[in-house]
Amino acid sequence: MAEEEAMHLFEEIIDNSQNALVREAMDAGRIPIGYTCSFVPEVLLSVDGLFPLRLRAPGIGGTQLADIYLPPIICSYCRSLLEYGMNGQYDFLGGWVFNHSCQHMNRCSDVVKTVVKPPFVHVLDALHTCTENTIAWMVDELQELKEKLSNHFDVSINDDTLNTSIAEHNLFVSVMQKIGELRKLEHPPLTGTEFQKIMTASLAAPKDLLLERVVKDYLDLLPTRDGVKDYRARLMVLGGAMDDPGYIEIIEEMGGLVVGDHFCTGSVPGLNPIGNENLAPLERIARHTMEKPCPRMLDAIDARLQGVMQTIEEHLVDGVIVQQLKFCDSMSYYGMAMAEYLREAGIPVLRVDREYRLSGEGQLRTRVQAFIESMGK
Amino acid sequence: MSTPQVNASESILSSTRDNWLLWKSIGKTYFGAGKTILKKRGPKILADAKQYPWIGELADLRSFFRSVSGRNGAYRKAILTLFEATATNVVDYVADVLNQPERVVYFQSAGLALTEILKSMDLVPYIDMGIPVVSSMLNPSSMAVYMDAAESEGVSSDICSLGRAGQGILFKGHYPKASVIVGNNGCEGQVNSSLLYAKKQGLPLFILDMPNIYNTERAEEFFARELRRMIEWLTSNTPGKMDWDRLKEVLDIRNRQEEAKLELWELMRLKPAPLAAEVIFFSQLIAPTFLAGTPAAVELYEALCECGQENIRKGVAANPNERYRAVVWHPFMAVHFHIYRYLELKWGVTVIQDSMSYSETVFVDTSSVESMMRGLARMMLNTPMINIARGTAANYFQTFEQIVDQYDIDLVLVGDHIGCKSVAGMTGLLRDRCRERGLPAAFIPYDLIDPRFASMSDVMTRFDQFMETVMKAEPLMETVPDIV
Repeated sequence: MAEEEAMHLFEEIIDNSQNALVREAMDAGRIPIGYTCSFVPEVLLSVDGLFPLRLRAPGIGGTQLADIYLPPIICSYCRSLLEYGMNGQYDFLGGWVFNHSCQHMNRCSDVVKTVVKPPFVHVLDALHTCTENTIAWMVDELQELKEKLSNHFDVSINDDTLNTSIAEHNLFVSVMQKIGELRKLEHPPLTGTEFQKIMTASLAAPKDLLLERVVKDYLDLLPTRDGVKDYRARLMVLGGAMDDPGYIEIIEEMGGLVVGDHFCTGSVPGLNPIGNENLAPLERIARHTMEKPCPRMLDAIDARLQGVMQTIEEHLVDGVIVQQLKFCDSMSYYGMAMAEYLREAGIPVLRVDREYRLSGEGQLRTRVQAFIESMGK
Repeated sequence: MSTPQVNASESILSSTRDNWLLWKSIGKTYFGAGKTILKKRGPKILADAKQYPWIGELADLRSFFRSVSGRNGAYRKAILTLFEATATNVVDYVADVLNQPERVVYFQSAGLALTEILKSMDLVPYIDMGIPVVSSMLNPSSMAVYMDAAESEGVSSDICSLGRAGQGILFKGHYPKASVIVGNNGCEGQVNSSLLYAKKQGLPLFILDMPNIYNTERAEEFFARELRRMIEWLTSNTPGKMDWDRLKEVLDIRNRQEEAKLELWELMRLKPAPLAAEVIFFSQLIAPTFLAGTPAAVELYEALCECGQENIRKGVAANPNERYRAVVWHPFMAVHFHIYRYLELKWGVTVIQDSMSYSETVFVDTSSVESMMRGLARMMLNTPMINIARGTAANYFQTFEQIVDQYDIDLVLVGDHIGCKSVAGMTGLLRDRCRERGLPAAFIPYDLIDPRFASMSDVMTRFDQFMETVMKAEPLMETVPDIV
């Protein structure tokens, strides 16, 4: 497949919840399960005919319906999901799986259950620290989800099918990591926007189909490309979940090249493989999930800060953009701590609030431009 | 219970008695507080007041005493008793914090109190929300300087004002010293304060993790393990050591405290109610936090019950013009708490119960260490803020329905606190539920301890508009004295 064709396919997938690959999978009898948070393990939703779709609201205009139930101080991601749910755009899903990511999402799940009434809905209760106690709790949570999925959808979720699902996840991750490694180059063969398009597309379509049809070929094409040379600064974006590559595109239009990221819909922790092969699959999944660096987690903050520094060093990052959804309490401390830590380390930082829907583009352009200039780039 | 006719001489006599009650209370409060300060801090208090300016705010109790204006007899006495207990015990609490910094455990309460555990370990609790809430009740603007300081440092302005105030106190260097921090994930806005304090002061931090779905046996077992883990951590990181016999004593007292509380709540089921408003929500603010597990908590509830019984014997209502029985839903308006008196006097609205007070009452089985830990876990997981701000809509509405039915509620006063995303996210469903029940509900936006979002005047106007247009009520008086 040619590069342009591949990128066009990624964009089509991103722009349409019921894109071609989703329709193909459904036509083959597979059942899409929507989920809201990276703490809902995709591998558990990728078994015996089920396939996961990260819940997004591409192209959303306003949230007039959702605003009836969720006021403006609830984050726009939650309100966007509810909006889509209320006007039937998720009716094609077999079910929804939430995590208790935060209080915004908790209440979103309450309203969805009451007002949208999906045929299947479950809320995982992942805790906020990573200890043996909380990992054991998570194993029980996953066991409960596994049983509910099995019973409702009449699917077989056992150790064998889970281990297979984990292996497929790790395969996908290994291919994407190879692509991600190329971003460390002085002249990477792909922009941050292109990378994010692939990542977002992988959340919005069956990964197995995407991997075989497009991603592997795209990886093969990359070494033949000319590297990106016309940029002023190498940037890293971190913060809250971001599933619209348009934000990255704006940053790069202003001369930044996004060479690294730490947010859950990006490469870290999205491309962490599931290890611990010696353990039972649910425990492997539980550990992998609870070890994710995420602003909702209240411990190991120093380790996360160091992880960010490692990415900065490896990817030769000049400056960091810390972005968060407006009204996000989880990012409130984390964003502030991150900015302070990086500035003390001599790393330029720009903090931005944003809405879920791509908006405020003019302001973002101005701020990014000023940020790059302030770095002397 | 009917409201008896009162003649002129009785009116003068009761007015004199009420004035005497007030002045006696003022004297008793300042004398008691002064005595405690001198005994525990002596002349150091002057330096304390300079180092911690919020001490000055706590010294001006006029707002408390003003709140009894228009409230008479045993109801007045109950409120004054409450404020006396608050003043004395808050002073005691602050003095202990300042005297023993090496034993101070800063904990982020989010509605749950660790007081019983900490006292049994001979540690001194510093409850993060205590000073901001009490201070803003005394002087609504007192926390503005701290909130502004927090925002200047990069704290989002949409974080709950309680969290911002706490973080601002830290940024200004006005936090008393602590030895360790215990945070929890009960409230995302407030947990930031714990994280920030630990980072800024370089103090050890423990996070108590609690399940969102709290009302299951599995959640209790998990949380009991978390509490044991916390106790072990405190033993390693502070001079404190758990005395299990002392914990048993403390929890036995707490069980008596809960019995007395239930007796008070039972009185509130009468129509008209013999007591109201602050007697409920303020007692629940103070007793389970500052006074938990002490004879003072039991005595306080018993004193409040006695006031209620006095009114019942005399056939007197807290609000002689009670027309509506209201539940305050979501946080009570700490910064504008005079609004409940305003509603009593102008509109005949009696606040009977509130969602930040009411929850399942847990009696702890003190027969073994394990049963105590399970009981504590259950108790903490069922504290009102955890109950309302976490969990699912199902348990939220279960509590709502229980209050409405048990107390014969006919009006819902929703404090639409703009900083709390968890309660804000329920307003749509709550509105639907009120409609289904045929319950009029006033949704009044405000910010918990920041008067700048909605002033007292704004709040009064909105309530007036609601009462006029929705309830079609006639005011009992045009202007309520001493309201601002």
